[in-house]
Amino acid sequence: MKTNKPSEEVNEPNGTEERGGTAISRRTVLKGMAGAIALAVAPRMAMGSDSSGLSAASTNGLSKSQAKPRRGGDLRVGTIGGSSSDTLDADNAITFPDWVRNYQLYEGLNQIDADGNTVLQLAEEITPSSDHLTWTIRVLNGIEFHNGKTLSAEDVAFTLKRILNPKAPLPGAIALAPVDVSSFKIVDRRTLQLKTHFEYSSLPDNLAAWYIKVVPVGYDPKSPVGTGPFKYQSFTPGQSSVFTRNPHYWQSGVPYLDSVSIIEFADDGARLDALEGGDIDAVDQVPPSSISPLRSQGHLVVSAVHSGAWRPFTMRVDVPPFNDVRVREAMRLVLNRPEMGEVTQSGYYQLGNDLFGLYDTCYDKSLPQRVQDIPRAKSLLRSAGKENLSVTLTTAPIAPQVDQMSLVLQQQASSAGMHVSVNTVSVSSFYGPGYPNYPFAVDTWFYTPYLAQLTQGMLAKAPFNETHWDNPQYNSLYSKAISTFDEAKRCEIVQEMQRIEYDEGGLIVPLFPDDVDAWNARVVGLRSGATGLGLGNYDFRKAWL
Amino acid sequence: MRRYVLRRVVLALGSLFAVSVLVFLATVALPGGAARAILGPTATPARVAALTRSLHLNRPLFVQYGDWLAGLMTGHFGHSLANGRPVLSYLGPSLKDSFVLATSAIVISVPIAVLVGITAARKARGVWAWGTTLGATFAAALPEFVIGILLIAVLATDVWHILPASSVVVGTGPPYHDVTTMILPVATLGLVVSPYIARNIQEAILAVRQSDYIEYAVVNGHEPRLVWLRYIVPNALGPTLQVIAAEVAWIAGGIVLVEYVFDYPGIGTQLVYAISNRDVPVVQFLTLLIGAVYVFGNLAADLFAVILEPATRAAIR
Repeated sequence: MKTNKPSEEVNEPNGTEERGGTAISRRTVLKGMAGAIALAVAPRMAMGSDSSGLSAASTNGLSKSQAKPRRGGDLRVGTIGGSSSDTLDADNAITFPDWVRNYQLYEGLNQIDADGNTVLQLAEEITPSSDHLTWTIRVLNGIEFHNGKTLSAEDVAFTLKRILNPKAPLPGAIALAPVDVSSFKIVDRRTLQLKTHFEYSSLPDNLAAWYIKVVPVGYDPKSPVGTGPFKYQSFTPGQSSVFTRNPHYWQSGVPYLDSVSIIEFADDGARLDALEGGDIDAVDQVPPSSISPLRSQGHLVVSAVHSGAWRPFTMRVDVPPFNDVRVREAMRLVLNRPEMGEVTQSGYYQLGNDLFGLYDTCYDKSLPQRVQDIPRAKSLLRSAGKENLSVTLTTAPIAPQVDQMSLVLQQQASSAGMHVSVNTVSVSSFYGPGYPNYPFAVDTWFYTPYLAQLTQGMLAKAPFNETHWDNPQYNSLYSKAISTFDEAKRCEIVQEMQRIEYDEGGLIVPLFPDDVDAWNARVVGLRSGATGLGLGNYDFRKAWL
Repeated sequence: MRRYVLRRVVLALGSLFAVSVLVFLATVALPGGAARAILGPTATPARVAALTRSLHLNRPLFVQYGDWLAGLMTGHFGHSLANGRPVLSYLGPSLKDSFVLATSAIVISVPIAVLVGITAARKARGVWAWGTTLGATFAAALPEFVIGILLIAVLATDVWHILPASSVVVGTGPPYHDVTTMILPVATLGLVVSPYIARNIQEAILAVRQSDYIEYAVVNGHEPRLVWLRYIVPNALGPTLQVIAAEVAWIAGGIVLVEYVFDYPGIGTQLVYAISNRDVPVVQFLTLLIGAVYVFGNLAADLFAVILEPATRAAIR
């Protein structure tokens, strides 16, 4: 079990700890960060603290989060980014509203929790054999799907086969490619054994992805059934959906809410207005520039925590101008990262060092933090024969602040004589046929453990290899890493790989934006998380009104 | 006369057919294609290929169009590529919501515009007339989304906070269950169509008032109020009906931008989604619908002109 530094609370809204509620989870998911959680409190508490609690306006002398959770109520969550193509498919969530829905209905064998740790969820065991080619997956006992069926190994097998279906592969097919579908063996009702085509030490991290969730045999997205804390009630793509409390949820005592309503907005301004006006209770992906105006409202809580989500600039290493490693390094050196963080994130960020996998146990913290170095950038360009370099950056509002970051890069690059012209396209055009082959572009990722991220974006045949990275030394280190099951030895290999990325890679990771969420102070039990999926992986199990 | 109407109807249907072909070509010409647009950032070549196959998008274009047209003839509008639901049942609620919005705008603003125009014509040289002319010209000059944004800024977010800035459905139920969310979108649509109607009837009345038969009626001692009600207004309304019909027809298209500005869950919002998803069946259906309302609305306007004005009727013989 990995132990990672818990996400730091960057800004305490009104500052008390959550205490209310029962500790229900048999998993130790939330234990590690008790001290780091600071949650919503009725603002009157802060305002009335100097009035010795005698006025009628104070909340009975008790902060709401210290009171016992109340059952009932509907939590209305406002989202943006939805469309008529919204889906309830457990293993095919694509947009932000899809993910919010996904976390209410479904759960995975394991998951990357709100602190960036890979932890077990529905499974009590995911272990390799001594030759590392056979894996045993055993699910917990007595978990029910929404239709009353008990979770069994057959459901796990069905889920994995569904994802790997060669005729209609789902997003997880890449992560699970080494799994040999024909090797599935139901050992007993709760236990599945499978073989992989080669040693694959990162299988648990890959299984933990947000796009791999367990469904029952015969699952049809039109009548969505999962094991999650809320059940399906209604769904209109592009508009709204309602989920009601699962009374047979396997964690006893939760959820407290009667229902969760997810309301989709086309425009962020309207969404924040609705939050301010009390028409909705919670939002994710709050633009950093709105943090102060929202906080000043008094009845709202704005929560910002450090997160491992990352939004890189991508330079293709196989075509000019960035096929020359000196030009790549020059572009990395030209950035004033703190300035970019202040301007685009209003200070709510962590510095990036052109590496991803921030919360991975093996993340190499020893590599010196890159800082702006214009003279060296200029001399690198000179030696590469590319002074006054002219290049086009293709960008789109694929994630908050990405287009602002692009403009800041453009401006900072000009101080080294580089002329970057920014070509902003619409999101659907960006993900059109040109992706991921732009010579110089942007991208956005949630936090994923290092080796799992590679299967998506850094291996030669990875589907989202924006930089067209194909480094032979790196590739052979990867083969070694996935066949190394000793964590310490594996970390050594990973750090060698990160060193190569640091020196020669095509990614620029200037910063890690904080996860910023906001909710009405009457809601207790919400938190932000470190993965990039807002509201702590949209976890409303412990929320109450 | 009958031949004239028949000819116009045939022309109208012909325009709709041409529109459907052009819009189909324009949608498929957009880069990407439905499969890629639907899968968005998770699109891998294998998944795009699989979805393209399952949506039957790899057939030649004229086969796809022909299929759609054949379905149309038999009353089948196809299935949304984005979510697989039958187009008509998927769009049902949006159609209802847009219909309510459009009808509310028409029912409220047309009578008001007519009254304003009549009053402005009655007090021909007063502040009312002057104000109407100025206000109408100003409102007519502004595009609908500018009016919408201005109303939001003044009444919802920046100056006062008395109305909601968005008509998003919160909770279950259509937007018109909460009347306050309807006020601004209806007002916006109303402010776009009213100026022309008001000005038109104002001018029409002024013209009618000067005609011989009115002078004759006045000279013959008919009570002024009766003259107004029985002669002036009805005769002025004739030409104005054309303008009203044309404006109503316009609303079918203008509603798209207004819905977008207010997040109103009607066909405008659906059209925007459908275009970004390259959802051809939905785009075709909505464009045809909007086109039909527009074309036949204008046809009605022309027919009013023919029926109500002898001069025009003579001209078409």
